[in-house]
Amino acid sequence: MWFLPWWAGALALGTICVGYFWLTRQTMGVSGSLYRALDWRVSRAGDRDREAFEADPAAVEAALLEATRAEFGDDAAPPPVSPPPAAAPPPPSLSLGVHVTFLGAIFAGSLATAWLRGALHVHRDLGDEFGRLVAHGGRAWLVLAAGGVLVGFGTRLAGGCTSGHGLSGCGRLQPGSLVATAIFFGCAVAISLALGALA
Amino acid sequence: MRPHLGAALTGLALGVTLTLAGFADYGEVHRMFALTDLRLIFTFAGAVAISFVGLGVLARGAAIPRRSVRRSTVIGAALFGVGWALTGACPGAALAQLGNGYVPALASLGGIFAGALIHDRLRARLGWESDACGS
Amino acid sequence: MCPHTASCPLFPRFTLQSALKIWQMKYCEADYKRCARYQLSLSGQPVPNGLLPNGQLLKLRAPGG
Repeated sequence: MWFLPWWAGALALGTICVGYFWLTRQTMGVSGSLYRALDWRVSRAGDRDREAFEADPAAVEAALLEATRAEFGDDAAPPPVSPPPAAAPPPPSLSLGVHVTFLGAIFAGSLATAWLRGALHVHRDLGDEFGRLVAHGGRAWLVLAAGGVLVGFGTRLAGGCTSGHGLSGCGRLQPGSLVATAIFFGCAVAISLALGALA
Repeated sequence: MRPHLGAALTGLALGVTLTLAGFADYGEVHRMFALTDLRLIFTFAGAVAISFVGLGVLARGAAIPRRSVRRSTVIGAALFGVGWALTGACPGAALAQLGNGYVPALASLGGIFAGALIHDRLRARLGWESDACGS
Repeated sequence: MCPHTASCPLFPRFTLQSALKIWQMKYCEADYKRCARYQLSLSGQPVPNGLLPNGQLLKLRAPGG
């Protein structure tokens, strides 16, 4: 099976990460999108709440000033002499629909590619290497489910995955992402070396 | 409309790239982590470098949440790394595995969803500081 | 300093308006654990955009009102 040379894969992934930000104004992160979809009811409510909040910035401004006066008194919130500059809102969050589209597209893209290569078959196991190194038969499913739980729990706890922390976060030199990426890579290397040694 | 189109295009491209690069192939992913084939490591490193340049230009001044290092960052990343080595599936790769016809990817994806739910339930009960945003 | 300032929809509004900075001084930069938004976020539940640090909900007038 032929695979992309490193520079082609790097170019593609890097462009995708930058392209996602260019087109959506949010950083790419598959786990983030996945969990928005999982929490779809909460995501939908959040979308509606956000729409109401962002619909009229001037009204939000006025309501904030009113609340400030009520809480702290007139001294703390002097009436502005000139019209206050409009507060810059945080970058618009993407709706649930956008996240679902993104996830579906990843699946569709891989499906189409496999099919066009003539490599689309129903694989009942994860391949020979997996069978040799990790588990085969029924046990494989248990190991995968358990491993998946670690991935799900871990990416949720860390707030990102390979794309979120690895590409977008490191691309922005975020300290949390740099550390997270180093750690998940390091742990994956350790486990893989162990699996290789035990096989 | 534009975010939907952007998400669709980049999503498709990501699915294509993950497949063609070999991230959906357990053997390739294992070889990356076992350091016997450095191709995917250079792929990833190169992608980060390109992202750095591109985001540096486009995202300058944009209010992107600052991610500092917390305990949850470290523990979460460690758990993720272990799980990834076992399943070959980071969330994106899991979807790509499924797209390539690997039925067992359903177990990985199911586990990912379950893991996220377990995290949220435990967190609601114990109230620890996590990097997962509420919204 | 509150760890959530970057993703909080109210924080940028506090910083950009001198009249609102008092919220930032009293909560975000000081005793952020008293902030109702912070406390709710710990439970994992979504925090409504209009929830103020003192626990009150912003009263937005109906559009056009």
